[in-house]
Amino acid sequence: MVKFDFTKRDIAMMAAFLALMMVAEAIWILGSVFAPFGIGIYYGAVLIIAAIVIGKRYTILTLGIAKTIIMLLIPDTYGGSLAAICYLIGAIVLESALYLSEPYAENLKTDLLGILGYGIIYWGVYAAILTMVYGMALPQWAIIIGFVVYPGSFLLGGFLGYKLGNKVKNVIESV
Amino acid sequence: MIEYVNSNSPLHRLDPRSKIIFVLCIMAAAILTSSYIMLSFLIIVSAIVWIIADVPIKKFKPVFLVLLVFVLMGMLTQAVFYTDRPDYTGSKTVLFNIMPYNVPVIGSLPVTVEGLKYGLVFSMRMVAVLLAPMIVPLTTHPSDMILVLRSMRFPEWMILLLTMSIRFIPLTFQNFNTIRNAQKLRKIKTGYKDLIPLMETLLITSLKTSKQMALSLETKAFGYSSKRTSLKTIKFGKNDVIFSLFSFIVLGIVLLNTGAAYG
Repeated sequence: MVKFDFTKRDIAMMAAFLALMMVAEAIWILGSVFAPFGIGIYYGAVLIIAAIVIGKRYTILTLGIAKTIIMLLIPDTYGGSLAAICYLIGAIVLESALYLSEPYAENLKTDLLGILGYGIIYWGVYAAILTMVYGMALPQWAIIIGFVVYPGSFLLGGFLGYKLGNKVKNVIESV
Repeated sequence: MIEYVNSNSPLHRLDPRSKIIFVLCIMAAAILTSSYIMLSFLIIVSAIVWIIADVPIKKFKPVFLVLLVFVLMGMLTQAVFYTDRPDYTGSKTVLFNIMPYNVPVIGSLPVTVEGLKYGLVFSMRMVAVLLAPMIVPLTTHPSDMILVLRSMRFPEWMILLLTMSIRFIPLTFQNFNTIRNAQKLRKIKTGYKDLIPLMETLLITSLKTSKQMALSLETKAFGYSSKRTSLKTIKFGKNDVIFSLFSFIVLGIVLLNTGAAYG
């Protein structure tokens, strides 16, 4: 049985990270060509920073569940409410990878592996919803490009998040 | 951002659960049908609900502009990709090629009449799928949504997390603007290199605020009592039943006409 053991401080910090994830929607003003890069880097960074700073198991899973609930209520720009599932399934993958590292999210390799998995699953589920549920015709080459762009940008964001996360954690613990 | 619009319209007075039923019915209907007529019907129903909701449509001009871009994008992409699918067996009336030459892997990207027709169906489906769910956040106060989650027996800490994150969104934008202005004051031109310090500062500012929030929760003894009460309550009344029935009737009409592909 999954046991969520968060203090009020952890919950308040998770709320701040969740808000930071929500404002990422503003990146879409960059346009549909550049936005996926920006979204991937930003999301990847925020998720890994959240995992490092809070440093407790199921942090990512909780953020994934909360983000899914919000996106079900406030639909995504393209893909509607159903696209919210991407965040939940992606979070399960990342959480599974981080679960293996001890202390939580402190290992660069598992962080990068997890965020790469998140990127792959995120795009895979999103493309599946667009093609199988909404009936969008997407050529194979476009799906393959997505499988390069999303995991690549998430990976870059994850690396950036690892570098920033430890810095931010030290600052937060000192104040 | 799509946020709550204060009004006393009939939609605002409804229980959020009846609005969620409406959204689910419209979404299911839009996914199941490929008929122009039925998709137009769904868009019209959603538009009428928008009007009843007394939402200032002018305020959401940017949202509708984005929607228009998506419609055009959807039509264009489907006009090219629909007939290019390996499992496509129908006719293929080429209007023109986007690429002057046959480019390896992507081909010449031909725009076809059949693709344009399908693109129209796809775009209409996306509009229907997006228009209806927007009603919920526009006409439901966040505190009512919290009550819905509580009625669904969500853990109290998860509800607190969602409530606080909603409160944090405008605060994050405000912090972002403050930091950006401070950066601009120090430099004549700010570039991509300033994004990392910006993110770092934004994170630290947000997390410092969250620590203060946690402290105030502790001082107010939040979570001390296991049973929480609320001044406001939600009740699934007569009007909610009528609205839910209306939603099911809309879904039923579409389901009965689902066989008629392409109108």
